[in-house]
Amino acid sequence: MSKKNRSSRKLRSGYRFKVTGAGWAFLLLSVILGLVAIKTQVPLLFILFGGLMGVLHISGVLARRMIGKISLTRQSPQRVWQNQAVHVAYYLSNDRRWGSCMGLRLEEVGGDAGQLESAIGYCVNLPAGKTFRAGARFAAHRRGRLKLHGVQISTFFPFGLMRAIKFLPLPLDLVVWPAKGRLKARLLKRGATQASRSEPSLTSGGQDEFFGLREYRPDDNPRWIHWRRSAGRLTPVIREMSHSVPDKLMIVLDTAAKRTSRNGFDKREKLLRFAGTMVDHALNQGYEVGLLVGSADGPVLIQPGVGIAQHRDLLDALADVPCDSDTRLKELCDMIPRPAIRNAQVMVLVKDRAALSGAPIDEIRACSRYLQVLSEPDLAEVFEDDPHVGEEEEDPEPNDQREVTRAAS
Amino acid sequence: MPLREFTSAELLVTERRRLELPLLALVWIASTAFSLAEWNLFYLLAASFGVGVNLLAVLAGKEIYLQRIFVNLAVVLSMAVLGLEFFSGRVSSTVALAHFMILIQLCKLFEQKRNRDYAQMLLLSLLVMICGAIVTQALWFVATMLLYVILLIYVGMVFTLKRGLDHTASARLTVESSPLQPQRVAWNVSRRWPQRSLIRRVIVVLVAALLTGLLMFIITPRMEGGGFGLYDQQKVGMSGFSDGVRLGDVSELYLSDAVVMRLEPLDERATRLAGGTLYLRGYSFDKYAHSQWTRSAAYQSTQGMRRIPTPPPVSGDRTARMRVAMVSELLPRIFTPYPTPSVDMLNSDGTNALQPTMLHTHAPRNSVVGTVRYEFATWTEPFTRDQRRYLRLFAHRSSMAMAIVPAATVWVPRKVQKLAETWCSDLLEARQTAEPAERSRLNLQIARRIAGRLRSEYSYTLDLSSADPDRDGLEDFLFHMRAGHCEYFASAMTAMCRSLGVRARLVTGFAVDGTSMEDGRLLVRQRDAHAWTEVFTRQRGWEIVDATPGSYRQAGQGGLSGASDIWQRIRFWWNDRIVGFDEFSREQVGEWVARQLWNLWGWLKAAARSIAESFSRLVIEGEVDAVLLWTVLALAVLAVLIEMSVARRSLRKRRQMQTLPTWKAWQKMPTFARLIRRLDKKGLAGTPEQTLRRRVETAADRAELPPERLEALVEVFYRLRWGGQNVPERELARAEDSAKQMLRQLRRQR
Repeated sequence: MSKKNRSSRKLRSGYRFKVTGAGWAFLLLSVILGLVAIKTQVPLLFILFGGLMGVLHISGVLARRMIGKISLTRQSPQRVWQNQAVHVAYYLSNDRRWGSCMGLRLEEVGGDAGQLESAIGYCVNLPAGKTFRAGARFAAHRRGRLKLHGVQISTFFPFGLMRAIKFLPLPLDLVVWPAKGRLKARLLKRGATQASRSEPSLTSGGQDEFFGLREYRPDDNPRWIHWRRSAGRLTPVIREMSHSVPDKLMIVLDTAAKRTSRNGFDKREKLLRFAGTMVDHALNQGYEVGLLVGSADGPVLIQPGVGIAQHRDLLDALADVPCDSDTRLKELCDMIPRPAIRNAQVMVLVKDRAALSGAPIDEIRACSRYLQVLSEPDLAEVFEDDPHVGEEEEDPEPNDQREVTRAAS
Repeated sequence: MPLREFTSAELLVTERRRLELPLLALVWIASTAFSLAEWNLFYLLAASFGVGVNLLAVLAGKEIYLQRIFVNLAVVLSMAVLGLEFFSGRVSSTVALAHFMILIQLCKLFEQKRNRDYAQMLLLSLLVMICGAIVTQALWFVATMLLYVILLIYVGMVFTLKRGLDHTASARLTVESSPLQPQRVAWNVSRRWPQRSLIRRVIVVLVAALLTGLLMFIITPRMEGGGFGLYDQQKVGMSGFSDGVRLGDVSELYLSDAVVMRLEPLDERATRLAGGTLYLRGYSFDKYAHSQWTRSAAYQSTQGMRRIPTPPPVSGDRTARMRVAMVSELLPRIFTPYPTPSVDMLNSDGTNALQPTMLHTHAPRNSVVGTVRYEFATWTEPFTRDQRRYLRLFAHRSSMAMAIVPAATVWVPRKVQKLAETWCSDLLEARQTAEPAERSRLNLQIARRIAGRLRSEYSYTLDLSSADPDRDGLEDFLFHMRAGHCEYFASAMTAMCRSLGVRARLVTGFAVDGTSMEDGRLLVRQRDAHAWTEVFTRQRGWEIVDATPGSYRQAGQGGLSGASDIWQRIRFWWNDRIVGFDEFSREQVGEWVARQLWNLWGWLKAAARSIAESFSRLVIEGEVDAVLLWTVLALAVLAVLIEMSVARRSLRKRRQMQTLPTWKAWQKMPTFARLIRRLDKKGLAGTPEQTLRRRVETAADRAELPPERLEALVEVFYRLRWGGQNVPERELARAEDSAKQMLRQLRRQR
């Protein structure tokens, strides 16, 4: 039995009690007072001794009662950036008919909650039959998918001598994207050969380009009439506009690595963080961004695209990169659809230049509009990493593998 | 001494003032109570000053503090004071420790306070109170302690909440550059301070703590030989208990109402005994010189004496049994009105000695015995021949031999002796020629003559401001003041008797008016303390002759005597039942509980038997008796109560099942909720006081939304809210889809 389990006592399913440091000190003081009472035979000290023991006991009873009938829901984002504080809202509801609950603390426990750094939620007073929204924050220091099993609600009330704990199951799958850094250089190259679409757009927008003029049709918006060209004509003419074609960026990320050294692991993670930052930046700049990366099931290709869904898919793919992928750069390069990168900027990210050997780099350079190869040492000039990286980051281990390890132990 | 404003965070988040005000009160109560317990004015004033200054600062929303170096210096000084007090031996170690803790508390009051300091102040004040409880067990201290405990519980709760708040307010993730803004945290954690909830919890905790305390008090076994010896410093001379009489010592006497003894006659003879004035003898004095009565060596020690003979057996109808509960005041003395052959101690173990003066003394092993309880069987008049013989034998075999005490042990001024001879000249002449038996009778007459003259020619007073300390007390009383209290009368009487060769002694103790008996018990108060004279006669041994005028009984009864009486009764109850609670009392309580349980068990058995008999009578003879009727009635009432309870519970459950809180219903239909919010934002959904159905109808009109679909959505919501949680998932999903479509339609309209 572990030390933690020894110190806590499981009274009933879902409830645990833990005597705090102050509680132990209080108990010691009470025992000393009892000894003094026995030594001096002063009646008042006997009453005081009993009173102190009663206070210790009632602490547990009241604390247990405080967390007795509380229902809880959680509002939390399902995707978060690594090393960024996330605000979570807990809706606490006191289902009792009378008696308020005080000093409630809320924190995520179970599953991968240990990977989170949490600032607990707190509620001073929750009257009977009322609902309260308590806020908490947490930050994930490891990218990947985290499984949270539920929320632990506890209280030290009334005297901080004993802590009553109750576990409320609220499962949550959390995707942690790689930490976002800052780009120091302009890595995106503009200048696509085909800047606009070949047909007019149905709607006009602020970034549209002029396409041509044509005669006005009854369903057309009168605001599009080109009045100067229409002057002296029998029928008015209107402007036709076309959407501009966004630039494309294809990121090829070499993640082939074995978990042999801490250094190799750090390099790979830095590449992932750079890739995540690049994806976010490029999408914000209006680029169509695609990604080719190795995963546990082989290479994953995400075709260039824009939008929130694309943003989510790209970063999810980066979050899901396993720690020991054996997909080589050559395999990745072979998978790149050549027509898709014809008018695109391709960014190949490798740990070191040695990984380029055997990869058809020249072929890709020939197919793409612009090829940029960046190795991990090169990133120092163009990328400022997240300052909090490395503070609490651990070697990520696949969830399933960890489960196996735990079961075996 | 800098003053620092509370920051907005401290005011908003940490609820500082809510904690500091009661905490200051707590510190003040603890320090003051201890200072009063040992009557130390310095610590009382110092604590009051420190707390007062802090209180003013807190009320002004500020914190007052000294620089750390000064605080540290004060701590060093406090330690020096502790060392001095400890090694000088002027005060006990407990008191020295308490002084040190009060000083440290003062230091804490004047430093910048954090949670750690608050916790230390709480602990220190608790320890000071514990020291106070060791020093005194007076009732006022207990009342103060009760107040202290109530405040302590409240402060403990507020402090726990504050710690949680502080933890939340100061929590900072490593990825954050600073903690959250205090306003945000305050909104997050405390909308309204739960004062009423806290007070309710205080009551719950207090009741639980008191019950547990009393239980522990009752069940804990008591040991012998405890005590730190603190009580030895408190040899408070109470009139009835004092072991010395000195005339002219005080200028004015105050007659206290404090109850010091409770007498409970156990038989008819004892009740009759207590019917008149009951004299309870404490100490007797036989030496007088320079205004002071002292006891000769034989009184003070039994060493060197011959063994006191065993009293002859006396039949029960010639003795009176009484039970006494008496405040021991560390000098337990057994007060009995007459020669008392047997004394049974009820609650105190120790040495019991019969003194040559036929007075019992008791030395308990435990010096902290608050109340001494004993039963005695005293002889009552008229004495039998054997009893008289025993008294004579005892008087002659006693080394002290009171009957032949030389008159020289009493130094009486010549003027006093002359006055006595003047008063009793005829009786003295008659005594010179009388037979020994007649002489004894004449001696008694002389004593009575002197007593009569004193009663008639001198007055009773408690104001002795006119007493001259340079004169002999007797001379001053008899020739100058001509007024005094019982000690003056008894002294004059005894001294005059002795100067005339009458064997007499001064006795102090209590004289109680037996007619004031209540509920078969007689309360003896401090104001009943008395001094009188006992004269030795051949026939009856020592005979009481009281020279004090009867008016002394009316003294000391003021306008507030009723309230004072109640307070004194409570005090006696406290001393009797709590302070004097010992192993014997514990066993008695245990026996009482066992007896009650046994009685209850017997009652239950008897009830069951009678019910069974009634039932069998009903079955066999068809008779219905009262027992059966009552049983049926009780069962019916019980059944109704159970039925009501079950019905109430099931109704509540049913109501809970049928309804769902609004926020939960909205949670199940989030898209519909968004739709309504959007309609609200656009101002299309009517007014908030309208029902949801009415609002939706309005919205359908204004926003050109399909009314039948909106109506269907409202139906689903109403079923969720009021119709229980039985809406199938599929139907719920359909409704959500419908709401989503309408939401999209609404967006397109923009």
